[in-house]
Amino acid sequence: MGSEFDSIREVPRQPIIEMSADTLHEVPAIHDTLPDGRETIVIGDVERCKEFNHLQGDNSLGFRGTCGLVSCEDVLRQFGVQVTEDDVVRHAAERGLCYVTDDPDHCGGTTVSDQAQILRDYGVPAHPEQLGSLERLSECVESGRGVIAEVNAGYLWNDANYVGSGEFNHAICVTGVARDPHTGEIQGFFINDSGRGYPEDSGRFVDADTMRMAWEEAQGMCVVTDLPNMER
Amino acid sequence: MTTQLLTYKEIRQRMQRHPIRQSEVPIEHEVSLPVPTLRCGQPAFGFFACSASRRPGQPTRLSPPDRWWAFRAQGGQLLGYNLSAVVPFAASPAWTDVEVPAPSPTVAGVRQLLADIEAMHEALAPEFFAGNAGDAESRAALVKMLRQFAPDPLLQQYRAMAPDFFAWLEK
Repeated sequence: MGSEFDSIREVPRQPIIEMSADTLHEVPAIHDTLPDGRETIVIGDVERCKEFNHLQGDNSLGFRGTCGLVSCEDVLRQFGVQVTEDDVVRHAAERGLCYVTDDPDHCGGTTVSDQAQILRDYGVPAHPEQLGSLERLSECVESGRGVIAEVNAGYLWNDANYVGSGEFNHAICVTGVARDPHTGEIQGFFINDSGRGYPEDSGRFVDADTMRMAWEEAQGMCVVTDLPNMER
Repeated sequence: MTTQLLTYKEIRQRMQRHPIRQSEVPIEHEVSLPVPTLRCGQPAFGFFACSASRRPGQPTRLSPPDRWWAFRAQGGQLLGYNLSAVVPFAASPAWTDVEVPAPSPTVAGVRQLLADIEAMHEALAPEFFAGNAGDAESRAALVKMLRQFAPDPLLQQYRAMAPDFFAWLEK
């Protein structure tokens, strides 16, 4: 595996795939009911984005620590860029944009800088941003931007095995916001999570308290696309 | 002139927001708790990080630490960042992959343990940095908490990062 990445290649400065301009579409907002029965307004293309999620590790290099890379794949596909996890993993590995070591189980990790660079490489301008609050996170999602959130897996999955030191240790895509239709209060978010392979982790509702614990308390770090998604 | 040191909580926040965390340490890596140390010649907090494998239904599996860094306790400036392959933080450690069981059966239990560890460090780190003896019961309590959070062989890595602090805790 190491011999494939010994040489340093010149990285073209142009994006790999040019995106064409299109008419700006509004972010969908629909009345719905949360799993706990509360009335809500769901803002975001949650249903359409479900198909972009899958269990991480589906790549020819056998890398398993690819939550950040799969989140990049998710955002790229949301923006109409047709890529697979394998495409993104190989792109990252060839350019030193993910962690590579002898054990494929531990390979594929990315920094927020790596994630933003990968999106840019594929023609989707993006940047790391410490949003820091659920309200700012909502604003990004509601404005149609692609959002990768860095979270603590243990708090997100309610599993003590994966809390560690409480830092962020997992990446997910945020695809929608749930707001109380009467007060506008944030009730939670909808996410695509590649970590467990559960079908319900595609477009999964995470209540605000859990998101506060898993993301906001871990300093609220994200990768956000510079522009809204015009592919709807 | 009195010396004002960052609190344990402030150091953690500083690390979480630092460019190192954004640009150098993969988000999937497991980052240690900060450990007080004087090994850099001044009050500092050391960190290390390991690549991690997290598969549902199984404990987290950590590789040996592959990087470490230290922040100055006064002001929070970065004192150094190193890959272990270039500048190891311990001499010839025979570390291997380690499975880390959950320190508590519940998430609430882990959160409480982390909060207790933070509170104990807030009280003891200033004493350590000042060269004081510190409260013996508190020192023993922190050792016990750290053993619960990071059972051997993981605790050995913490000891190797800050042998001076652990010697002080256990005297």
